[in-house]
Amino acid sequence: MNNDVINLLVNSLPLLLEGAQITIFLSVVSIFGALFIGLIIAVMRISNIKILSWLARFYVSFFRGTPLLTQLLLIYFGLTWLYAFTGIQAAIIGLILHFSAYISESYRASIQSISKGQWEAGYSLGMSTARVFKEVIMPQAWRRSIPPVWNSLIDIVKASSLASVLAVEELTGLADQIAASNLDVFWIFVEVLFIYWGLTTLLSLLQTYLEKKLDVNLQA
Amino acid sequence: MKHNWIYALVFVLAIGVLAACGMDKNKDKATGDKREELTIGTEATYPPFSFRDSESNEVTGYDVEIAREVAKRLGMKAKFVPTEWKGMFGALDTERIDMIANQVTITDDRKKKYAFSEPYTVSGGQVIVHEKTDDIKGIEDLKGKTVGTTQGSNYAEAAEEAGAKLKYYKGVAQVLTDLNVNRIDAALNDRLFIQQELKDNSYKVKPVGEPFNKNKMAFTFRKDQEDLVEKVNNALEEMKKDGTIEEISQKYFGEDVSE
Repeated sequence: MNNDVINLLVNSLPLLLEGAQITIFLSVVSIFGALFIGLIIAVMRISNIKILSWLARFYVSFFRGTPLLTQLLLIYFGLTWLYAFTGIQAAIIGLILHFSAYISESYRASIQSISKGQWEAGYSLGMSTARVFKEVIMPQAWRRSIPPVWNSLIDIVKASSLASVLAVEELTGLADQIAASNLDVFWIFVEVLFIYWGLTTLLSLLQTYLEKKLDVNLQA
Repeated sequence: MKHNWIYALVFVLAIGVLAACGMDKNKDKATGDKREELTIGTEATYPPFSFRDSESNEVTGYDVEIAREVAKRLGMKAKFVPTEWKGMFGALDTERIDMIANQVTITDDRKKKYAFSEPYTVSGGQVIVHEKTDDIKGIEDLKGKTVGTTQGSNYAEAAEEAGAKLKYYKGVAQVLTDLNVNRIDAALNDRLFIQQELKDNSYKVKPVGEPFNKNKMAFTFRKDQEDLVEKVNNALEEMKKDGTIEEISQKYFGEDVSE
């Protein structure tokens, strides 16, 4: 690395960190939105009410079965007759819809991995289905859901880079601009990848902490 | 424990929604009746016309400075919205921006759908090849060759007419990177861009042939914006008379490129 490269990396850093703030904002809002919507979808999916379960299947099939980039373009450019969302709004809506489909499946797998005996034990104590679900199944299931759900959360951070095509000046969008102005593609993207890696590492650390704290390995 | 977790979710989600609403208000202000703000679409990845200055980190360039001066003379605040070229006209169509300042060439096809201001740049296209390439000497040699370009640019059209195969890129830096390693045979771009930007960087590329297609570039609007076009034209005329355009042009190109 010569001085030019070091100058480029140092000079571009403040702007990239500004972009990283937008990336963090997009990610945090989308993560909490997707965790929440995903839970609703998962509960609908395993419920005995046919129409709810069917709607949830349809939702998961559609949002997991179509590309996020296309969904974002549709929300931003295609839905203007409905409402002209800003790039940030369209990105958050798209990320939440897309990843809540994945997360709901992770929740579902965890819920269904709890042995039938747990349900039966609850019923034999005279508990209602809702109460067994709430007090017996969920406390165990959501611990188990941490590793698969965290895959999706890390994906959300990375996928937020697609917001750059909606004129959002997040990390990747700004990196593209800097790369063009300096006509240097390599070093800027190396720098940007390390920033993303830093952000997702924070999430991984949180995962490790939660797993330890909640004793995820606890056998049911 | 479980309850706290769910409350935390709802709480943060609510904050997110509030924040999104906050952004919404800003947008209303931008497109409101008073029109204090002129939103301008520009790539910010096309030096020296529109780029992010590596020292000040501001979006600047020839097009940006001219647009900023126009907005100032209209008594409006210029707000630049960096947009990828392929989404540029879409952004104008969906009223997310009021005008495009990004070396948009006036063409017959575009005139059918869009309104243009008076031109503020006159230039031409030129062919660039890898410095070791010697079988391409101008646009007439592009038949059957692979040419890199950005989607929807009028150079894409010119290359297609010349019989070339097209390969699309996000921006000009990516085109040059691929030309540098021979993944494409040639690229087309503005002669001013080539003269200014290719002198002092490490790309192993060279311009060949004479500039072709004298192009006129102008600010672009929707057809329903006649009032705004007229005001912008008045400002441009004023800037031409008092030498402002020439001054900005000299700063970036060392010549007056507006005529």
